[in-house]
Amino acid sequence: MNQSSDDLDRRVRRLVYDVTLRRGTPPTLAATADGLGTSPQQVAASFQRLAAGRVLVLAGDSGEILMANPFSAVPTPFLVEFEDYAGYGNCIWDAMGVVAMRRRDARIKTSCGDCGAPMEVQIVSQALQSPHGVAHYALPARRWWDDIVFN
Amino acid sequence: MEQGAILTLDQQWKLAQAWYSADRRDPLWRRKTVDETEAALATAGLTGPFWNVRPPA
Repeated sequence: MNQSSDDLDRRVRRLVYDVTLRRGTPPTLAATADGLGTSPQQVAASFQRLAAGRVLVLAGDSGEILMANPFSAVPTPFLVEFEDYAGYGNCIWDAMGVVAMRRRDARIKTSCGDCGAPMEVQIVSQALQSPHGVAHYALPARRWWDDIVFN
Repeated sequence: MEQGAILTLDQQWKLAQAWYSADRRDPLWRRKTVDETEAALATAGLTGPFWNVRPPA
């Protein structure tokens, strides 16, 4: 990677997370290009480099952002509600990661992966309020990126 | 089929904080090294073969 693409990738990452943290969903490729005053082609290439570096996960067909971890660009079973907006985490780890990243009080709404019963986790002043329940990991850590969307 | 691993929500919250507390807007931000990943996992008490992230020798 040369210096100019490295610099562009830093600017893209900053804008992507700035937008995502402000509103809960990542920007589109076109909006990122607009925001940086650069071409969609350059941003598409930057998205691909950031995805290769496991910073972003892209939707295979469109090249748009699917995950700006811990945020999901699409609805998932892990809804994170703040006072000012709601967004989605990719899994319970990421749903809690959204709260950790924003450092604001939140309520996570999900369901039991076993029986489907609704579950709610509240985090207030960075403290877990309702520590009932468990998280299950099927795959060992070394295999997580074999298929990160499935995992 | 492997059983996988079970975390309490308290462990999960500790892991989420260790993993995502850094500001990804920061120009100096970078992904965690293997050592840093192990340290983040260890903050939630996650050690052992299931949590091993080192590439095979």
